[in-house]
Amino acid sequence: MMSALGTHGRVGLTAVGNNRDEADALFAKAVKILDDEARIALDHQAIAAV
Amino acid sequence: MNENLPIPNLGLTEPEAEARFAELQKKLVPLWRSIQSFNQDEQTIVVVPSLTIDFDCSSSELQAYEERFLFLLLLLRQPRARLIYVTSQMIHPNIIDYYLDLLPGVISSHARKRLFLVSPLDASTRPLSVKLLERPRLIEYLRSLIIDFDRAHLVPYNTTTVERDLAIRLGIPMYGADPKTFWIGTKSGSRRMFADEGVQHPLGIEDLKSIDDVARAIAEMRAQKPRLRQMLVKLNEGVSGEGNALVDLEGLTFPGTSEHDLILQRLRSMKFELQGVTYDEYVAKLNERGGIVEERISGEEFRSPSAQLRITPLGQVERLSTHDQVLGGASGQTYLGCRFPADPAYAGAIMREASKVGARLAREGVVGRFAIDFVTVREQNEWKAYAIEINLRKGGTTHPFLTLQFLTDGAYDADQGIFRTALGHEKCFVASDHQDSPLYRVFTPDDLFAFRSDAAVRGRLSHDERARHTRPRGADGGRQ
Repeated sequence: MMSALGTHGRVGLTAVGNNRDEADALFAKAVKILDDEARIALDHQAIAAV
Repeated sequence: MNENLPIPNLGLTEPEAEARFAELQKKLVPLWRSIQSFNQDEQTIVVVPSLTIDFDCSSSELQAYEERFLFLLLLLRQPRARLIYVTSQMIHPNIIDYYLDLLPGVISSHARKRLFLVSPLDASTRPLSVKLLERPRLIEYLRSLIIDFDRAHLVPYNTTTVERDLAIRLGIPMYGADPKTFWIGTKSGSRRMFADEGVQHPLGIEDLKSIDDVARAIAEMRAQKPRLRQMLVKLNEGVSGEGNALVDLEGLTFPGTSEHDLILQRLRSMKFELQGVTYDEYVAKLNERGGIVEERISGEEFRSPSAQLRITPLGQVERLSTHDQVLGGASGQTYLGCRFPADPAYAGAIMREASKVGARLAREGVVGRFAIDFVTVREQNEWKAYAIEINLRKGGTTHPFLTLQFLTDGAYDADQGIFRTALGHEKCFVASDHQDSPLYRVFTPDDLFAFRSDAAVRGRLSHDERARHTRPRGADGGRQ
């Protein structure tokens, strides 16, 4: 569902694991990566003065 | 800008169209047999993932939903399969590459040659099938891509007379329920089916045509069960809980003379699942489409599982999967995601009930995938299952499940409630198509692909998790 990313900030995510807990943990990890990366991306704004 | 173009007349009366379609559908039988025998004959699969449903969304969301079924590109694994995939707008080329890279044992350039991406480049939010029917030249182009009309079929998302007419125009059969059976998939039709087949379902009344009908139905149900507290009104063709409204009867005096008016007052303040809907709009839709009212099943512990089955063109009922749905929204009825498989505590029970409906649907001539939604409640350590609706179409669980199946060559053991890969490993998944944040708007699809590699490199995902386990989802996300 990547085409709704730019307008709505919405994606789909599937985490496969060998059991429920593993799938849940992996899903949470992926969400954390998205959240962290969004913050990092939004941080890169200032242009250093020469 | 969104004005409809005229749709060229088929030139057939309704019975003629039905007969023509029935004739085309017969072709599915030999086609299915030959696919089952794994012969390597050429075949063309035409995917038109049109959301021909009552569903409000923006054009970019519509495109995202249409791209949910891109996992079907994995069918290009069969070396002589050709796939035509139609979407309202063009698909980002890197999204296509992402799917082709998932193809096990296939050189992606060879697969790419057998893939044809077609788009009317129409960003209006109307159903894709309508956009195609409006454009005879585009239909001619699609026909020119089909090599053998006896070895081609249309794969829709849901099946209305619009998809039937598209199949007739293309001259190929459609893998999906004949729109003649559409009524079964409405809320009223589902209740009638459950009653006919002895499947336990909530107390309720169907075929309601007005708000007065709803009020009378509630009074009738209160006469049977005076302690009813919460009722759900559901529009016949509502999707993903969006046509539902919650009525609170708490504190309503015992049935008496002014009961009808008191119930109408409660209906006036019912809570709509879809945000922004007004009472008048809702009532207008109820008058137009009809609906049902039923008791809201609740309990200290309750879940919302679903069972998926399919009926092959040969009339066999196959038990495919069970899921626990993850629901949210104003009254907890909007589909957000799912877990697979459903809790084994009731997975077997819901599949048994669903199979009763499956046998009936096969007798009604239904073909293709369908799902039955349930509510299960734990009472004294025993789960009770109530069937709440039949969906004669693909659903929000279709894409993550089929992606897992295609990637692992595995299958769900419906008796045990367990999915095993071809190598015998058990697998589970959790999937969401509502993973959203205003901050994510900063990303492009390429960023998502990069994180997957980055995360692996930086060690944020362990080695085992790296390969295919967590993936941003193009086709494998979504709610319908």
